Amino acid sequence: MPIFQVKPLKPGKRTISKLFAAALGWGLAGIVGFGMAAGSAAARDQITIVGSSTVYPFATTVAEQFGRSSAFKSPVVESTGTGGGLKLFCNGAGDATPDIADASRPIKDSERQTCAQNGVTDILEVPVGFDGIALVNGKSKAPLDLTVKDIWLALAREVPVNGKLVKNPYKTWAEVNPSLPPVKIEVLGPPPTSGTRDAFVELVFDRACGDIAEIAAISDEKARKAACDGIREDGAYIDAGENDNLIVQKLEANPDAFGVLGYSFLIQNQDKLQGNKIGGIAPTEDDILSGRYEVARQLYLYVKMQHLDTIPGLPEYVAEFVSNRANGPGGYLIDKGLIPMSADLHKATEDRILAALGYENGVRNTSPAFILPARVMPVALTVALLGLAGIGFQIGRRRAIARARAMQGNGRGFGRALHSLPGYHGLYVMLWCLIPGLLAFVVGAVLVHGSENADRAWAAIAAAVLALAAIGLVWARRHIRPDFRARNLVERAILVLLITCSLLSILTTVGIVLSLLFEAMRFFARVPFTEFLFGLQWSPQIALRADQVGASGSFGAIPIFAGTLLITVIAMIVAVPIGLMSAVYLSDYANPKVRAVVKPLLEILAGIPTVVYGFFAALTVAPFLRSLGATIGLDVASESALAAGVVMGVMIIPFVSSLSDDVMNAVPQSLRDGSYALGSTKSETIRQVVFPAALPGIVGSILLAVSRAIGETMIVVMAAGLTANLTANPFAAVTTVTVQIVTLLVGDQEFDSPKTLAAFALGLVLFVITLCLNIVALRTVRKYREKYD
Amino acid sequence: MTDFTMPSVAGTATTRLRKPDLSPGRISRRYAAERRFRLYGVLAVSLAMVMLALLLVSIVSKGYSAFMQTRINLDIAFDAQEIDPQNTHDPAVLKAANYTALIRKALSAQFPDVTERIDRRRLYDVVSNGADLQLMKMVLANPAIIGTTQSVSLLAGDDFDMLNKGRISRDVPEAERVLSDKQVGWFDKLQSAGRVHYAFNTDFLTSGDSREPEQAGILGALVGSLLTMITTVVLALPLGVMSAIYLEEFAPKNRLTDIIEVNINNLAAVPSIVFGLLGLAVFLGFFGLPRSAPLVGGLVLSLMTLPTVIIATRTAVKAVPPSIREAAYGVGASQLQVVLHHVLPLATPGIMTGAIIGLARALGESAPLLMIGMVAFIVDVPHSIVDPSTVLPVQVYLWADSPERAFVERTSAGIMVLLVFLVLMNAAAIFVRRRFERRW
Repeated sequence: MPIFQVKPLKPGKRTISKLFAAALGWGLAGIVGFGMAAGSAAARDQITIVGSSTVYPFATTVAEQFGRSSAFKSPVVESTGTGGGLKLFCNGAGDATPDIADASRPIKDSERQTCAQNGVTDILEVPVGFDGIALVNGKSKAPLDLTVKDIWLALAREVPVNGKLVKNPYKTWAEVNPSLPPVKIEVLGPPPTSGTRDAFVELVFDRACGDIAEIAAISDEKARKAACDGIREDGAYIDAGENDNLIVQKLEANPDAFGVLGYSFLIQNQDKLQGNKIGGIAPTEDDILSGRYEVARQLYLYVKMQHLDTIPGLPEYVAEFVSNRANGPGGYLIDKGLIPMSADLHKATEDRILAALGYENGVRNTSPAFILPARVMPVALTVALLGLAGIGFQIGRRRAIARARAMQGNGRGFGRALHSLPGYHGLYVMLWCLIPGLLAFVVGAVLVHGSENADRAWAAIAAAVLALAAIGLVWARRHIRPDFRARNLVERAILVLLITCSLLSILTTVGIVLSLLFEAMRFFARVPFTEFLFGLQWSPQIALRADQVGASGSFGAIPIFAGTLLITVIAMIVAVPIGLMSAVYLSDYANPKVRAVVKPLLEILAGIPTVVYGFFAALTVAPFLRSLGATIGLDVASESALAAGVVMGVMIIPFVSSLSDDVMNAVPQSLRDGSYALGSTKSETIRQVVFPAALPGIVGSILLAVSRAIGETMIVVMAAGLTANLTANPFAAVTTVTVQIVTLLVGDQEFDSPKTLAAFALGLVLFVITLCLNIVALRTVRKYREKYD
Repeated sequence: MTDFTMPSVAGTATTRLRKPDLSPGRISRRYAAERRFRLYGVLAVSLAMVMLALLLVSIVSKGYSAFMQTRINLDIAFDAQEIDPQNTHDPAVLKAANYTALIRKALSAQFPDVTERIDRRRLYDVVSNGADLQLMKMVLANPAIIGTTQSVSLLAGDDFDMLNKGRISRDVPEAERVLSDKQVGWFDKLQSAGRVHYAFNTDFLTSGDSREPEQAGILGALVGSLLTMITTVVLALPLGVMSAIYLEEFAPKNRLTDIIEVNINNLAAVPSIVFGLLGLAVFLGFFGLPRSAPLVGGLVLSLMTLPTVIIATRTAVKAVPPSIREAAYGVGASQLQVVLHHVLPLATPGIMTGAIIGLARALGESAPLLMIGMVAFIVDVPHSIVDPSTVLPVQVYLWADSPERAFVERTSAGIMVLLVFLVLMNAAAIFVRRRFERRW
């Protein structure tokens, strides 16, 4: 016997109070959440750190130690590149801006000026140790012995040939210096936002230029610097993005390529990578420390002193960072690859920083942890409002009963005098209490958002909200009479609520379209529409500062569209035959037992999170295809379109199979029977009768699958490449629209740079294309399903 | 399809009609084609099954070992000089002491012949660099152990853990191995001294993320997922049910409701990353909600889940037979009372099934969450829906991107935890459907 018994519920006080309880529960949950959100926007109790990807591993390690060993929360660390980090850091003071910027180079004067203009006047510079920059490659080749001049000649945009500066003509290392091997120059390095790149240019390029007569001869200093620091853009130097781990993987896959990486990454990956000598010295800890290895730099933290007393834990975190335990000669950061300062220098630095942070004899007079009123106020107010509403419900209900009794006497029949049940009167009063209160709450929260003295403002809001709610309550109470049509009014209110909810889906679509359009328009104001749609060159890394050289963004999206198309086509080649044949087999051949087992199993494929497929593609399928390619002499990239496409195809199989199963099942049995009567076999019937009849529906289901493939993100983010190659070779690495959106928007988010806005333009294209596919597909599927009904 | 024009026997069509092939081979050829076709079907299904099996096997075989952890027993001398020279027992002093030094002393005592600086540092890697916290907690819990020597089971470093699990092969030449022959030798010596243990890894299920693979746990992401899912349910379920009720029971058939319908179906097929862009532009950009918070994650996912809930609710409501409604109208119920008191309770199992399936999809979703900053490195287990946090699938993504080899195992184990939850949710959906759903 089923537990769930069908019994028509008695419409009375019980159901109404059930309804009331349910509404109260959901409302409470929702509004407490809203209140907490409003509270959190008002104050932050966690350090936020942005900046260099080189310092990132150190900053997170300290963050973790700090979180575990202190009473404070662990800071949130994001890797945005030194330039990007300092830009966010200098955006102003206040809770919405980061407290610390990591940097792999000293802050520039121009950046200090920006900071000062935005009110960030007091910055503490904390040196935290050294990092060497290494030119690394995979372990399968012997390490080279290069000079800074070799590197400059290989990578500079213009080099002197016969006394004149010309566009860099060198293709192989041997052309640069005959003692080097004749392999193609291919160097993967960080993008212009990266401090590693700035330091690389400064330490290698500027040093090399001193010995080049043609460069030294340029009299204008600016022009000389530009000529010296330009990095070639013809493919020999490859922007590999801010993710240094990715460079490691790519170098492992391609032994001829070199990478520009921090020493700490070399240490972490010394089983895969080796450092090449520069000027005869290999990058080792001792040689970097002693200064013999030239390409080394100091790392810094920049601390916003204005936040020192408002963000809990900030001074303690910085103190932990410079402590002997972390940063001293035997500290845990050293295990992570940081090269320590000498013991004396470290001691001096630690003392200086602690003094600057306000420590005396290792103790800092910290203000006790306190809860800001602005943080608890919204929650308390919400609870108060709901309490008041509950009281209103009771008042309304009781008054209705009392008035009815007054009319009919105390007998059992008093209810007959009421037009509506007492509960509806209660709900009526409650609504009059909640609606004005909530409206005031929302208006207040919006007004107070981001204001300076939130505490006082919240007190005013609380007073206003509760006053309005009380007025509503009293006003509604006066209406309650036995013949008052409370039910009709409450029902009308509920209906309005229902209509609002159903408009929400429209609102979502409008929200999507508007947010995409708005940001995309700003993008097209800077980059011409035609260049975006028809350009052949995609390298969105744009110079973040005026004094940066060697990078200009270009936003031609054709290579990305082509890459998306390639991966989609591969996915379809896998998914369509398998999906269709599975559908045919399961619907027409398999016996019910097999079908009952296999069909759900097939659907599991659609239920597995895409991140799992991504992991599978990147770690199992891609290496397998690569080694398979190697055995038959094919050059398969480690991030080949094939691997991502095949795995995506597997994911899509159930989308094709279950929809086309539906469509084929909708073909009436009479058509099949007719075909059997003519003597056709089952396969002939399927091929010549069922298929043609179901074709439009099948095409529709394939279109839906295509739209799914185009919009799929995680598989390609994890298994496809980052560089936009225009190729139809499935063994090469390509990138897709979704990958680009993710890489452009994760980390550094500047809503005024074309780089960020480009992601929204891509999103718009994605949305429009999938929308068209969906509309066409849904229409055909529905049409042909109905046709046979 | 029934009004095919039959080819007329007379005229041009006659020439196209071939003479029927009645040779004995013809029938067997047709049957062979039939068998081939059937074989393709079997092949397609088995190929899909093989892929599924391959996927699951590869993940389980990579990940099962993460649930075990190598630990190393060391005799730690809790030296009073090192920890608390003034014998104050002040927690602040006890916290600040250098416990790493104690571990290093114990290790050096085990291997007195290792003297060179570089070798020493390599030796210290045997024990995880988070082990000092374990000692600190021991001392804080019981300051009386200061001055004694205790045998403590400490977490092994990730590379040694991998060695013990056989993930780092001893047969590979030294140059291509993370651990040098010396380090392997030390580990073997510890092992032969009976100091190496292999125990269930409780840390994995009880701690947050970490930069050190051996200390990294899934709890932070699990709680983050839970908070995000709660937000999603709280928002998507009532909104979805209410809008479905309106569309199914009250809405007049007009252009507007038509548009809403088409729109809902389309929203269900919009790529999830687009919802992420919406969240970034509207919730973070316009409303200024906190980055990386489960609140925003839940908002975005609930918009994504809404169409699923609406579609499921409409189907369930539609399935309630008209006789129930008519009976209710017959005793004088208003339209809203009919719906709220009779139709909705009867449709609840169907709605729950749809909602659980929608939630399961949201639980596995990561792309939109990348857009709203739920990818930051977060150690703490979140406590509320506005604390920065991450979710299970994003944690998997983060670990998959980490360079340390030991994270491969953690990633697979994280996937296993995620899949367990998905299976549980789907099982719950099936249970609800089987147990409560009534067919009319």
